Amino acid sequence: MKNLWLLAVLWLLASHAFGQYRISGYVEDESSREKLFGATVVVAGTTTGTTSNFYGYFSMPLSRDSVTLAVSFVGYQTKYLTLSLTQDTSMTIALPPMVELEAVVVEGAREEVMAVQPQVSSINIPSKQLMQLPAIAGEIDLLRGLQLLPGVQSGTEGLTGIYVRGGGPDQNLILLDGVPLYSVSHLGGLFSVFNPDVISGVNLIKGGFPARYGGRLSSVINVKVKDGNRAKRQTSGAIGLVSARLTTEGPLAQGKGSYMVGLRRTYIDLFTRPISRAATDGEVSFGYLFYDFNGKATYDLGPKDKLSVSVYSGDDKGVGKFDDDESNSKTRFQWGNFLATARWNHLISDRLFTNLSLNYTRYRFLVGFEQEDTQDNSSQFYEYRSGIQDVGARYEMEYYLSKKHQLLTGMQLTQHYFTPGVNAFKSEDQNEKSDTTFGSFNITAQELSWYLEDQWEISRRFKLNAGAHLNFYHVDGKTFSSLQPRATLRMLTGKYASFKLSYAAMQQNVHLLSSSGVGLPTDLWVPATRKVRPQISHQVTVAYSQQIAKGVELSAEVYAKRMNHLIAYSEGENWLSGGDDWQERVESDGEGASKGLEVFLHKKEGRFTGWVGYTLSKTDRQFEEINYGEPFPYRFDRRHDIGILLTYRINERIDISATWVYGTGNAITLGEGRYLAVGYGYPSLYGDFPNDRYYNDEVEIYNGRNGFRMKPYHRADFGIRFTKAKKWGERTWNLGFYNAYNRANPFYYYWADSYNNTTHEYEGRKLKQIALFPIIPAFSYEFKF
Amino acid sequence: MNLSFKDLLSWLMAVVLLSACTDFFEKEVYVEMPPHEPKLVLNGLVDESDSAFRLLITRTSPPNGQTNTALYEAGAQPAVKQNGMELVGALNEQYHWVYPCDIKPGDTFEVLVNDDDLPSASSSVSLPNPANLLKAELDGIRYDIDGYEYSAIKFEMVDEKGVDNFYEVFLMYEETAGYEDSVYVYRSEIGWIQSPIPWLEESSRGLVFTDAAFKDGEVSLEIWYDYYHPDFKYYVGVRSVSESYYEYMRKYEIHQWNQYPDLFSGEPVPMYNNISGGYGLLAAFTSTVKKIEE
Repeated sequence: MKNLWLLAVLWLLASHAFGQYRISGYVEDESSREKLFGATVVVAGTTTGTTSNFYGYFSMPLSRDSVTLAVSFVGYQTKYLTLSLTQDTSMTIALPPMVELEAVVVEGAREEVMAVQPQVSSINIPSKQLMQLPAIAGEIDLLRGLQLLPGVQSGTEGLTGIYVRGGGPDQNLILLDGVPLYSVSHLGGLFSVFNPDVISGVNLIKGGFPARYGGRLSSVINVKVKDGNRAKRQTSGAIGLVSARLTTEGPLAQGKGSYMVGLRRTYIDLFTRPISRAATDGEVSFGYLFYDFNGKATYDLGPKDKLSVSVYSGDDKGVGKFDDDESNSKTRFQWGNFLATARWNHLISDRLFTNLSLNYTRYRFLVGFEQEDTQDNSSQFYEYRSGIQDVGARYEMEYYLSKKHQLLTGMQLTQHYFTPGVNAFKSEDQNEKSDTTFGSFNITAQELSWYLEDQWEISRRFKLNAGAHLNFYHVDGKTFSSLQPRATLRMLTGKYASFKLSYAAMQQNVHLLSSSGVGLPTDLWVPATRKVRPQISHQVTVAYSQQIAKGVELSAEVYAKRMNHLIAYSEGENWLSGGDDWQERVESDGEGASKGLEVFLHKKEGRFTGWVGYTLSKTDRQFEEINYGEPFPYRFDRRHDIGILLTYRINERIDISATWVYGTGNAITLGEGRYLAVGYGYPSLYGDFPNDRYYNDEVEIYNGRNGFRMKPYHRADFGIRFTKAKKWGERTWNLGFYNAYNRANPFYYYWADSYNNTTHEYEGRKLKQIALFPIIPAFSYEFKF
Repeated sequence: MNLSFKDLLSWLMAVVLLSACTDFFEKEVYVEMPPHEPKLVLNGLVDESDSAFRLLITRTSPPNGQTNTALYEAGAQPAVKQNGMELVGALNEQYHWVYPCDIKPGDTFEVLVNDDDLPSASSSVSLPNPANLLKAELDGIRYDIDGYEYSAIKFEMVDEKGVDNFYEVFLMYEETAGYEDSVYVYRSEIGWIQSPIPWLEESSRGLVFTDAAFKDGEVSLEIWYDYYHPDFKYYVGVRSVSESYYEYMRKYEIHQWNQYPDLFSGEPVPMYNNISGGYGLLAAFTSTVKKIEE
């Protein structure tokens, strides 16, 4: 054992000693000086290279004194830097945004870009690409863009739920500036919480998770908020049909830092309040609004130290007031997130990058009712609350050890506070007064994670990202520990082709209890407990990708995923069903299995860009007490799923974009027959059966859960942007059409009694489909100065 | 054609409005389903206070069909045994098969129904012993989360030892009315009651529960009723029921509530069924009642 340690130390020293000069620094946008994460830095003509980290930093050793670096990023011109190094060099590389209609792609750079990407099942979408998506109701939505990618599925019509490789909406680790967000929907899911003006970019990982990530089973969606423009003050915004947004950003302390403040708000309430009052003679008033506030400030203490503070606050609020001569009552609901993080990036040396962050995130859901009776001076108050709060600290180190090894390690400590459904009731009248709180108890839990990850360039052809994520979760006097191994191996199989193989084990210590599975604010975040264990998954991915033309990449991935300890409401239970402890109302230890093939054709450069994604998949669930213990299709199991995004720049003033999605219909449970049941003490077994038919309720015959399919879902959206330079800046008219060919997509089905229009005789039942959204044209006016 | 932006927008708004006038939002659809193969449906509730075993035999209907008297299975050939002895002399009263017999706790009833064009169906059930109900009394006023006022009623009972027992509690009121020289006494069951105890579950005729929380022992339970009339007499009734009755009743409510999917309700719930080869319910109960002391 001692010899083994000695060998390891010698090997590390050797790796270190034989390295030559080192180049390190940041990659940033030339005009705004915004740091770019995921930019590729390679030595032209070789496969030696790296990518910038989440903070835009990179570091790599060079084996020659004189080299040409190729630095590239989607939406930017590739920059070539010829360097003659005499010592370790630190520099900032500024990339100019792409302005030419036809992008220049240098043949030599293509191979290296692929060579430095060891990650499988991952895609970066920078903000420039995001802004090309068609706007829905005047708003460009990040999550709708992600839904177009293979392996990522939307749930129900119109909603922004994300279902990755057969996982549920809770199984996505959605990070905003590195901090988890627990609910990402507004207006019941029609919009996500991400204001497009404040987003710098997003990275999605569906499989082959690096060891640095943990806590969710199915995906990591890492959203980076803009630091703010360090070069000049800039204001942008938009006014649309249902919402408006305004963002301002600029330099701080002569460019040593920057700030960014963004606000988005709907004005639906400005219409609904007067309309509801007018329609009811002032008795009823209903208002609804949502807002998102983002604020961020960064400051460079010196060349090696950067501080940043980021805050997000967003809420949906609805209030209904009902007043008459006898009573006044008010109903309200509210859900939303608050998130704050403070971060310190410190370079211990040019090869050791560290990050310390302190985080707070909170999600809460509240529905309440209060009433005052003016006649007898009585009052009632009822409130239901649920939510989750996390307080955490994270310390990360990236050690650029040698030409062949980059080590990442880190530790995270999180304190969770769960409020899984508390009911409060107060009532008061002349005789009695009561004040009661009941429901599930608040629960606290502690989580400690540690990870170690090595990005190892074994040879020119082989690159390995291997590591492990160790997690300790303490709740209810019990500690769950897990070691989650992760590995991704990349093998170059040709000049422009690579083959990848990955394995990832994941553990999730929080569950989402959902009545419908569509990701609504009423869904309840609950902790893993003694009774309800943490969810775990194992996923294997095999991928092949090839650059088939200039800027065009084709990839195919096959995955298999197994999930254990899933939970679901017991049959007949939902969030409304009583104040019992939630643990008594769930089925735990469920299993899930998903397998699929994903094909992705991506054109990244040029006047015409976009992608085509196709997924063939199968996803099942199995619970001992549901569906007689037999496996059944997951509600969002989708055999075929297609997502297409096309954007075309007609000229410098006009861009058009179109998307098309197709998906096999959702799996649903339908009665396959009916029969007469013993209902309210009947069927009248004591005689007079035909005449008492009214009391003889009918029940449905269900031969299995989710045994039927709704009609396929397909929809096209279309967008066109007219941009014009003005004296004061730039304006854009953004016109969008949701559901451009007016397809009536199924939202849900139900059996309805049918009667003859003429004779009014009962004709049996007919299956009816409810659809939500026809073609919806919308426009917004965007400005920037 | 020279189409301005304003014209284009007007046309689009017209399309949206027109689509709202059509069947866009709700329309009939067709989903391919396996052909419906009808099966026998047997419904029988064995009541210890009754003088006959009664059985209703119907057949299942397709999902888009009607369940009505046309489904009454006139050609069924039932065979009913009580404690292994075949009951004879069935009367076909208003579509029911009625077998006059003396019903006692502990009796077992077996049913086998053959049919000319449907698969055979069968089931069996045993009549449980009556519940040992000790007393019932009024216990003040309670309020629920919506502020509604209820009369609280407490009742005490003893569990029968050595077996798993299933119960249903219900209320009964008695009204005495006079008409000319006659006095009439009306009694009627009240099924709509509640309880603060979570394991007393709603059924269509009261609240069902098991003896899991007071196995072989004595228990005091509380129920709530919101329309207690001072001029009436009230009784608490406890049915000692077969397991099939208990399972059926607790499923029945949630089955009905979850038949129609929407965003907030849960998944559809299959109905309890204890008929082999068919559908329906064969269940049994004995009832005990106690006047509520005020």
